[in-house]
Amino acid sequence: MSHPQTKNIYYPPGGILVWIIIFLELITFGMALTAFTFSKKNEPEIFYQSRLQLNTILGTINTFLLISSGFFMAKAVHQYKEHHPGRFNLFMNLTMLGGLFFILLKCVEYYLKIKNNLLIDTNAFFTFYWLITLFHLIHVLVGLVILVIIKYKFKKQNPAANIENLEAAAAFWHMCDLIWLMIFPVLYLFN
Amino acid sequence: MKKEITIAFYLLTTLTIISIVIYNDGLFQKHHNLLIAAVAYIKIILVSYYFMGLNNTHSFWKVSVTGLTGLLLLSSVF
Repeated sequence: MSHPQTKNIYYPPGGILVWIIIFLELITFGMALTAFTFSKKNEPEIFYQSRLQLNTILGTINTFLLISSGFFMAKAVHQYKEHHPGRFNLFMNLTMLGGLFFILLKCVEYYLKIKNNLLIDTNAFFTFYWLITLFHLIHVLVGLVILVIIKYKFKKQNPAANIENLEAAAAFWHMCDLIWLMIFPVLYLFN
Repeated sequence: MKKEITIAFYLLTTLTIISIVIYNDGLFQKHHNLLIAAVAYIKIILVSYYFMGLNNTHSFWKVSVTGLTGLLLLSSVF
């Protein structure tokens, strides 16, 4: 019979499967960012000039949005464990709102890039920019869908609604935050 | 636990502001990328430990996540 404390120590929150996914995603994005860094060494001037075309203000706001969203997600899990369904719902809504605003702001950023003709085939920098950020945005969209499903299941008091599912969803959502915390400095801030 | 999450959030917000200051300030030009990467790494640790709950897990997970993300950030700096 497994002791809860033992399980807590040997198994990360949400279960091993979601953490294997997290590791794989971190490696994938890490390799993309490493490839970006190597390409930058070949065309330093083009990468420098292209980086200046990125909107650091929008990127910073997006960072604040994801950090806040992650905070609300952590609070939601905490409130669920404390058996406060009202506060749990509130924090889940705030989490999803943060994610939604991130997606909207990213769309604004993409619209401005397209308007200025800075497309995926403009140069190597923008190829990386579009691929990495679009791939990340897809993860945020998937994360948002997962959160909606989880919230719906908890509302309907579905038997599948349990703390492990919630922690797995939360871990995936925080992974999106982790990846953005790597993307933002490498693409937007590094010289 | 509740207090730790809130403190981590305030630290994350502060560190984000610090990274923007480093980005805009000419004083840090020499180690610009390394400083920003260091700040990003601290933010990643805070999210992993206090939002994802890594602080209550086995050392294997702590070392794996912090080691992997550190390595990836370092490879982006050099």
